[in-house]
Amino acid sequence: MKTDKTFNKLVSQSLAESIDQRSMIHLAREIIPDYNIQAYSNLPASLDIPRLDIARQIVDDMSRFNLLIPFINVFFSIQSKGYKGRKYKISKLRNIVVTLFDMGFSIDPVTGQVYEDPQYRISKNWGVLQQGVDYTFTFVWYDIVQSTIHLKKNSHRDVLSFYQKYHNLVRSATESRNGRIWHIEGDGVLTAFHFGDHSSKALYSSIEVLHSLFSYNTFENILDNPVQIRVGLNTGVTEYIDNHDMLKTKDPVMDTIKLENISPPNSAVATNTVMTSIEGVLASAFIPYDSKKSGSYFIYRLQWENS
Amino acid sequence: MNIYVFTNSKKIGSLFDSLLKDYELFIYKRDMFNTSIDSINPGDLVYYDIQGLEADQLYLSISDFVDKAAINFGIIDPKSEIASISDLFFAGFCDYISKKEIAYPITPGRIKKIRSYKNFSLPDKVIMNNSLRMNIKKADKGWNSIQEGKEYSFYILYFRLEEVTQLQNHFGYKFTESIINTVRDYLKSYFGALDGKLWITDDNKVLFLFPYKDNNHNIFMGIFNFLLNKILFSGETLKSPVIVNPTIILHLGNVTYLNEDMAGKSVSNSLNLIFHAANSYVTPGNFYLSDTVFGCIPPTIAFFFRRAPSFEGHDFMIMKNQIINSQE
Repeated sequence: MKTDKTFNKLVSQSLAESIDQRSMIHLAREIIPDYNIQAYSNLPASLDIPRLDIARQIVDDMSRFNLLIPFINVFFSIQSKGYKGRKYKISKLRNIVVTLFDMGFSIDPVTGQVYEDPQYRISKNWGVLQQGVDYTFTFVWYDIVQSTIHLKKNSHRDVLSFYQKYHNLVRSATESRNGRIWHIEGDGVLTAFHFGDHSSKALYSSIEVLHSLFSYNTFENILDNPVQIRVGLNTGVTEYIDNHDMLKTKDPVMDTIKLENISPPNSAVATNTVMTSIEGVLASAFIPYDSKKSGSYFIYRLQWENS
Repeated sequence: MNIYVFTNSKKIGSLFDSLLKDYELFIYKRDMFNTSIDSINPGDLVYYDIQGLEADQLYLSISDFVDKAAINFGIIDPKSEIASISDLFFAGFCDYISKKEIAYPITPGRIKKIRSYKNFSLPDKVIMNNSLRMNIKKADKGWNSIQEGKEYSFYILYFRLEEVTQLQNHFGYKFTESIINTVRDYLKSYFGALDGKLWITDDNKVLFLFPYKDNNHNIFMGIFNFLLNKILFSGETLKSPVIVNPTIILHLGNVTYLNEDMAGKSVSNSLNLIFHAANSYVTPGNFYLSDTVFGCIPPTIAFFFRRAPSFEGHDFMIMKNQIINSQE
């Protein structure tokens, strides 16, 4: 996302007032590894250049390549984590945060990272994730049980109408928790969660989709048979990739999709990587699951007493 | 097998009273037929009162259902409007109650004959339905129709949060109080959207009133969906460490409406029944429907209820539990 000159000026001033010239350039190289300030400017090679000039040049370069928000994330992290063993206090932090809110961004309370506010924009990378960089995600894979039977037994129009409803249910359960739909292929939907307590958000979203489909079956199903789904959840580290075909080759994504082979209908199965820090209500709802396959899994089923 | 009767006549509804000992009987207002028919199970027996309808149209539409859903249909014809009764049977109908026959109760023997004729099986539950015996005082425009000091029919919803002591012991009074307040605010907004008004508040207990209107199914679906999603409500809305299992009682009764400040002074049999049931009848953490509500709930929801013991002369149904934490 391109940023305006007033905001760039504010960030430049903050940068110049907070850290020295050499550290500024190192910080820029966290985002562009071979960043060379002279390549984009008329600034001399010497570091005797005023801090503000260097700061302006870095901020303008980042803005030009749509990388200013990721750069601000690195910049913000030095206040809490320090940088190369030194602690820094960011000047004008409050002004930058207020301006970011006005521009439609939020701050993740867990990581302190800036991301786009879904009320304003919903993009696949939350407006900030960079292509090729590793991040931790919780993935959710939804798959309709025996979808071909629905196609055979119902009119094309009814099936299309149901799919629209189904995709909307998944979208609502995902985006209301700041997750993103990454791919839809007919009855299969892949969603991703990155910010905040992403494991919990993914687990809650999967429960909501299971329940919404149950309500749909009970009150408004237009198809001949009830619709059942399988849900798989997995947390892992992988690089952010825009291309879906490449994304599907990444281990954490493949491991998520494979869960449809062990998840019973109307259930959500999560790997132990999702459940690592889960407690409270979700820990009561997802219980250990003996799938007879290697690995440790947890399951939530929607069931009612019979009598 | 269940027996369903769709009629607007109290008299017709009462003809089926003698079946209560042997069969599960639901009596609905006739305008609920279209919304209910898809959820009635094959093998069930449905009686439809055609009084005042154009019989030919009715015949055509119902005969579709007879073939499609394997439901057993009987026609109640209080004014002899059907020209050819034999055509009904050729089309698959299994019973016809004529003008002369409505002078007498429908007996279990008659149902037995139909069973042997149609060869379908029946379980032996009994469900009492009292909504047709009530003197309903509608408020067609919802709260806009309600005037203080006058009596109306309301769906009365009692809600009690049960985990208060557990929460207080583990997480303290302040946290528990914040949860109770959040629950109250949430319910006010959630049921408010369904035309419900928070009428009485007492610590962890609240009472809502919903003015009675025809076809107001949203209340039942609203409560059903609320309970279905109690995990999300507990974890995300309340930030509670435990899943809350509220006690809910829904009763259709007549109440003289007083404003919220005076609500505690309102006296009625319906309110007495609810408070007595809440204090000394219910198993905490369950959802109960009283006999006056049975006839108003869509069969899709009725499926999730089973019979509960009677209390103070009223039959009750209890919602089946959602099983959480089962290894099965």
